[in-house]
Amino acid sequence: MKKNFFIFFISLAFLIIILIPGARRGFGAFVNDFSSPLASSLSKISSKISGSTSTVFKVREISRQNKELAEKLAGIEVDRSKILELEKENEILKNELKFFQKEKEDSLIPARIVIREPTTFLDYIVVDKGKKDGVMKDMAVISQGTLVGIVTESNEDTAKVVLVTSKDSIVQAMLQESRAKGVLRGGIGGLFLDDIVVDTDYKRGDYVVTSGLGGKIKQGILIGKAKDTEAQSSDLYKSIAVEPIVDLSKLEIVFIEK
Amino acid sequence: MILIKKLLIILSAFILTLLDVSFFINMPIFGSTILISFITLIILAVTDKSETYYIFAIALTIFFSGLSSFPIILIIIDFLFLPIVLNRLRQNFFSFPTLISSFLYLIVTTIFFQLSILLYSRSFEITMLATIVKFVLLNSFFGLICFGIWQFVSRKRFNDSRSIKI
Repeated sequence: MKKNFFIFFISLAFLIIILIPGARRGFGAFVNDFSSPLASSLSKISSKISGSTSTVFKVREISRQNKELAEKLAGIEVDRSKILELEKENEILKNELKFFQKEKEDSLIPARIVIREPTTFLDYIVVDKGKKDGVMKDMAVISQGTLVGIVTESNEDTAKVVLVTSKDSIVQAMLQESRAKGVLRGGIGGLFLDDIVVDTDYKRGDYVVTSGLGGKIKQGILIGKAKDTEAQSSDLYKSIAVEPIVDLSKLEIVFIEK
Repeated sequence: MILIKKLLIILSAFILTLLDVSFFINMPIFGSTILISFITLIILAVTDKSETYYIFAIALTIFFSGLSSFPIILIIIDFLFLPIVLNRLRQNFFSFPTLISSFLYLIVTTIFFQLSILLYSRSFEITMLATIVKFVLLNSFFGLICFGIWQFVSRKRFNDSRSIKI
């Protein structure tokens, strides 16, 4: 009798939790907040183990990359000086026009990834900052200066972020060169910039940035680079494959933009 | 089954789900990750003769729905229906699993798991085949190791209890 009651109680709890969307969200928020400290510790341990073992196996790869990067560095130094020059000029012009410029550091909330979706096609992460740290829904999540996701839920101590590669992710984006606007969608087949007018010219490696449409995410945040692959979705529009700048599978720390 | 054992089963379901989303997810092996909760569930389903596995399945379903964004329908199919069907089939038509047959069970169920995701997402490209194969092989081999360890521990406990002289 006791045994049947226990099983019945568990089954009922299960049905209530998973079949009512609001209940699932609330339960998820509670479980994420509750397990965040333990999840954070597990995440740190596994990242350390993964980092050390991958280094051992990739010595040759690292050596090759090192050589490539050293060669690139020389070219970057030249570009850097040009950028510094432009920044100086920009600062002077803004002062002349009396624009107010916010300090970038004050607008970013650093957060550690504590939980990650175990199946790649969904690509959600949970970070260890929430409402009490100023994280709100629809804030942009950035890593190494590029957009990696958007906050979908903000709990008290944690927040859920949908990565740009998720099938549930939709970001208003554009090709930086041609300014052709489209919608960036993720999924199991990769990242695609959809709804681009069919006669838009672009070349491989063109940057894809946020377009600012919709008002939720500011314009100009780098997302990825256009690839050669494209598909014509209709007579008027085509889709362009996009390669993310950052390897999303290796993220550990992200920044949430206020 | 006493209450404490049931609570331990529920706790282990929680810990295994947490390991999946916080530990093993950060340690990809050849581009794929281990889903320890699913492997444990399948091993329990094919070896269990009592109610242990479906309490574990229900608990896993609840915790997975809280800690991941996996669609509800897929959670119910892969973490509840699949082990129940597997357990019934095994008990009615097949003998207790050996090392080889448990490996086959794991291969079939992990393929089913991946196919259910592909069918739900309604997209398939030939490049995904490599991802599916890696996932199936990695989790099947890992499950095989877990099954082997479980068998070894079970036999040792049985032999130890037999050797006790009254």
